[in-house]
Amino acid sequence: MITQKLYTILRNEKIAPLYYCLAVKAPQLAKKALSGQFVSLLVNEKNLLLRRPFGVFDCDKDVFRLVYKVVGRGTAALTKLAKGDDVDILGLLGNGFAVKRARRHLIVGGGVGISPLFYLAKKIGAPPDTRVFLGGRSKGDLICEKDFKALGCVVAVATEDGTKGKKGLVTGLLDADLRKHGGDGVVVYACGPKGMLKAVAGIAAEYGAACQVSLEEYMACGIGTCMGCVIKIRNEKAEAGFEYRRVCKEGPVFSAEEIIWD
Amino acid sequence: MAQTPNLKVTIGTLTLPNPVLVCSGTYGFGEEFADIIDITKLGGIITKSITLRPKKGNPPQRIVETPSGMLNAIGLQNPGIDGFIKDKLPFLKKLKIPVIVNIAGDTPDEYAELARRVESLGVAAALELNISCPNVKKGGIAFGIDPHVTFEVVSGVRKATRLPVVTKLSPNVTDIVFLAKVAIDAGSDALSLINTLLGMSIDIQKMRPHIANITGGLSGPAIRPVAVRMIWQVARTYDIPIIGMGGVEDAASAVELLLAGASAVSVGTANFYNPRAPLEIVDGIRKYLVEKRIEDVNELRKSLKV
Repeated sequence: MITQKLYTILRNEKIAPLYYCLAVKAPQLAKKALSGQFVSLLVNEKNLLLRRPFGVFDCDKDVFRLVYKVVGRGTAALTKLAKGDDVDILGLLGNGFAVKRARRHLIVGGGVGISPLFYLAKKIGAPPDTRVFLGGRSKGDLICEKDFKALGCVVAVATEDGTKGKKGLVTGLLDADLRKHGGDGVVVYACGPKGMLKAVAGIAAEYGAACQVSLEEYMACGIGTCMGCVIKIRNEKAEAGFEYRRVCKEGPVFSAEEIIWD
Repeated sequence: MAQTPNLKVTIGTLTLPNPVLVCSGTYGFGEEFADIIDITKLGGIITKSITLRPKKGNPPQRIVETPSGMLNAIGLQNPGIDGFIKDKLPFLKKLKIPVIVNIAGDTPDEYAELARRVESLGVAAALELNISCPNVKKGGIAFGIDPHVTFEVVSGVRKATRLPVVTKLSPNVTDIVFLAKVAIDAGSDALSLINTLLGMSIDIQKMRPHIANITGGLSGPAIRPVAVRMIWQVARTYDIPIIGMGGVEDAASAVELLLAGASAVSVGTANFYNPRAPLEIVDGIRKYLVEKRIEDVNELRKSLKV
């Protein structure tokens, strides 16, 4: 069920230099949300029309939370919203992660892509062999590390500039883990920039681990009608061996082996 | 005076319960929006273009936001007529509002064949001919800006079907009145004005066009003045029903297009940012008519003072 409704803002706080956490009172969304689903927000900014999509960060009773990064005028306008203001939210959109029984769960997040993985970790329930790998350009991009730790997850971090954790890419942490423990019975869940996801998919395939990735694309409608947010999906029966499928409707979570990375 | 003004309008032989439609390419085949709003309160829906064979569409990136608008180059991705019959028809058959099926072909003969096949399905209240898509190599805009091909496509469809024929014209022409005349002479019962304006936008960091197709169709409030002008130019010249579209996002913008001479309006890009827009517009038009003490929405297209 998708609804378009005004929700009252409870908090809109800065959690890192460019990152904010927005909490709204939305029992309907909080109750139904699946990890990996997303919502889209109307921004109140001159000349900007389209909604901005954000993954579900966390739900707790009546409270629905999302995390956003200020990347342009639309997200900058969101920072001006204050407690008590109303915000127009369309959701819940897309399909979530499929949490399967596995020997080990490996969660890999990059930058703002970290945020939709928190609710996933909560759903998995942090069994002993769950590992969380977080990466970003700099330490300010390693959002929500404390939240994962509070769940009891074992967290390892990497930054490209070496300001925190291992210097380098988060994919290096994943590769080292799989090399040591093998890919058998492992599920990898990833969200982040496309380059990172492509690398994660490659590493998971190399070690025979299952892999689900959550993608982000430019979107207009978010509900499957505009056909704007498509990616290439393998289909032997289709012309040229692929078809374009919608990130908003068939995704945003896809099984990594379905995707043709360009 | 009556407290509930008449909202019924006619497009040729087609009667709409109210003058608010939704544009082809922004509404799929209706199902997705039926989850969010009561689509049976619309004046009707205009489906996504269907083609004879399935169409893959263009490579991404397909869309980008621009000031008060957006560019798209989807490339008519659709399941083809057979996929339409299999997956979309059952839902549309149950829908109790007029369905205008939009068709697009690579050749004039394909338009005629699609018209025949769609008519035989018994679901279409009318056909809208997409001869103005700016994002495909064959058909589309290449047909819509060429008066000879426009005539050939429309007259071919006219001979192939008894359904009302609505020709969707491209604004990417110097003289819209001339193209309108060609479509009318070829037997079009009504016109849809306007399709998107050809545009382009560049990512200055990557020094590349945002859209993989390089150019795309501009829609949204940014193009509304162009729509108003073209509707007015055609409406003052020919007595033909016009479905006005281009930046309709609220009752005020809808009334603007009706005053310019449109018999009905169609909501496009606004569906993306405000799924409730078409229903808010139906209510808003009613309110406007009451305030202005106008008993019939059909009065509006004759009310412009110039």
